[in-house]
Order: sequence, then structure tokens, then C-alpha cells
Amino acid sequence: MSVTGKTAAQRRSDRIEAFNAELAQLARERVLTLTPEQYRHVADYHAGLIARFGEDYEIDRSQREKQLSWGMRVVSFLGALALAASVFFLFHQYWGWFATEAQVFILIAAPLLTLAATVLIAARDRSGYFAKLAALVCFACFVLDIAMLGQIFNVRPSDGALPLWAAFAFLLAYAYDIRLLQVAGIVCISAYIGARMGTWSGAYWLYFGARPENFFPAAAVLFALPFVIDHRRYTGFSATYRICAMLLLFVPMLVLANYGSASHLDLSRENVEVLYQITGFVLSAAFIALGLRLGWNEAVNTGTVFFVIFLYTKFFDWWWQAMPKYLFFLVVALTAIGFLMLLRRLRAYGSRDGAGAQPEAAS
Amino acid sequence: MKRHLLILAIGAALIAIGNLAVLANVAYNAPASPKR
Repeated sequence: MSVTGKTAAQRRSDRIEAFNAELAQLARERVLTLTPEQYRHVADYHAGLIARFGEDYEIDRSQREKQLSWGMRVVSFLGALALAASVFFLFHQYWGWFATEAQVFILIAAPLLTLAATVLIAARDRSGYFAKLAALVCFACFVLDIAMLGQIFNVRPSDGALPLWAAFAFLLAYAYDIRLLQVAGIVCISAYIGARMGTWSGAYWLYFGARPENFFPAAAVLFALPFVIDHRRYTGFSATYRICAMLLLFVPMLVLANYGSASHLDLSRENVEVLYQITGFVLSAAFIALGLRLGWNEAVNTGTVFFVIFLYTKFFDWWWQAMPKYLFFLVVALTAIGFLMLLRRLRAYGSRDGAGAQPEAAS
Repeated sequence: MKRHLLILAIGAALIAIGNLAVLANVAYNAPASPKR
């Protein structure tokens, strides 16, 4: 068997653990008892596999190790934030003492040195936590480098830095399997696409957020990306793309459903609001259906959240003034109960349908 | 090792492009030195 990455190794190790627990249970209930020789054969094979995974990828071999590695993930994230803040404030404190040449040198050297450190650490650290920490600091240094260099020389603000930051974030995210940097890359590239859309529609690029529809092309690009690029080797990258795409679609829709005057469309404010309210409902329901069909849990959850938000904002519009408050909240609560019953039915329907769709291996 | 070097090279290239773009912008927009 070939294991192409830490994710696959971890998944196989989890399956082995579950298999052993079930085998022990079956033996206790006298449903299936392997001969000692068969049992030893399987146990030896699994022990060999787990040892190899442990050597190659430093996977979590037990529930306890898994809990600890979650803790390590949180600590490495906080460590990276603290380290990046420390670098920033170090610069800030002594910045005025340096000549311009020294400032430029420091700004350029910081991302280069941290990049070299990241690569060196990644080559030695199998767990990946320290490499992730170094990569986050490196990205922070690069963003600081370009932003401060522009400030020193009073360069006109430009959206040109955004695709470069995105490319850098994606490079580190894909190289070392870091979802936080993937999100950073997504934010940068979405801002860039939004800014381009804003510029093409005649606005100054910094005001692209004033027209929420500018984010729709970015949402389409992000949604299409997991179909174009195979992400099976990366932990949860496809799901992150889909969640970000849905956020970029539904948050602007939610804004436009309430403030229609921000739209590009040549319609009256009321018509724009009605259009986006209906589209919001239809698309969130469509994403729930699509998620159920393809086994995308994140699409089901995000779709449900937005469907409920669209519904509740509409309830607020219709009944907040007209109804006594106790009745309003009763209606909201009854709708929530109705939703729960509907979702339960969907779940039962899914399990009758052969346990529903198989979740995508990539996410 | 080859993979790490490739990541280092691409990363360094991106950093170089970013910095050169800003510095080129500065040089292009700098006022010409006064003639005597």
C-alpha cells in the first residue's frame, strides 16, 4: 500500500484502531473469533504499518495522542501569533533609529530569513508544528515587508500586492499543509478579484467593498477550484475552499437583501432586496441539497446556517413591529423545531439510502 | 531535499518580485534630480 501523505496515514491508522476495537468486541460477543495465528498475523501487520507511519509522519496513534496534538495545534497557532506580534513591535520600537537603507534591508531580509528557517525546520521536524509556526511568521514578515516598504516611500496604495501575498500564502499552505495560510491566501485573492471587479465597474479599488456583488466572481472561482485541482493529499483544503466560497456568496447576498441600494443592478432598491432574498433562499437550499448528495458536510452546515439567517431576517422584517415579542419568539422557536424535524427526516432518508453519500476523501 | 529547495526558490522569487515591484515604482515615480 502506498501512503501519499500524513492525512492518508492518519486515516489508515484510525481505521486500524477502529477495526481492532470492533474485532475485540466481536470476539467478546462470540460472533467472530480468529485463531491465535490469524490474530497474530493481523496484529503484526498492523503494528508494522503503524510503526512505519509513526517514523515517516509522526501520526497520532491513540485518542490521547490526538487530544495532545489538538493542544499542540492551538499552542503553535498562538505561538505564531505571538512571534509575529513580537517581530512587529520589535521593528516598531526601534524603527525610527534606523536609516532608510537599514530599514529597507531589514524589511527585505526578514521574510527571506524566516523562509529559509521555515524550510530548514520543515526538513528536520516530522510533526510539522514548528514548521507551521515558522511559516506563519514568514508570511507575516512578507506582508509587513511590502506594506511598510510602500509606506516608507509613500507609494500609492495598489491592489498589486494582493495576488503576490496570495501566491506566497498558497505556496507555504500547500508545501506544509497549513489551512490557516490557505485561508490567508483565499482572503488575499478574493480581495484582489473583488478590487479588480470594482475597478472595472469604475470605482477606486479601495472601495470595492461598497458593492457587495464584486465578491461573487471570487466565490465562483473558489467553488470551482477543488474540481480543478485534486486535494486528496491535503487535510480539509477542499472543504475550506467551499466554506469560503459560500461565505463570499451568502454574506454579500445577505447585505444586498437588506440594503438594495448597494447593488450594481439597474433596479429599484426594493426589487434588488426581493431578488436577493429569493436568491438567498433558493441557493442556500440548493447548497444543502448538493451537500447531502455529495457528502459535503461543510456545505450542508453552511447552507443551513444561511437559510436560517435569511428566514429570521425576513421574520424580523415582517413581524417584529406587528407582533408582541412573546409571539415573535414563539414563532422563531416553532420554526427552529420545524427545521429540526425536517433535518431529522432528511437524515433518516439519507441512512435509508445506503448511509447517504460517501464523504469525499479529500475533505 | 529537492522539494525543500524548490519551495525556497519559489518563495524567494516571490519575495524578490514583491520588493522589486515596490522599489521600481519608487524609482519610476521619483522626481528627477535638479539640473545645475
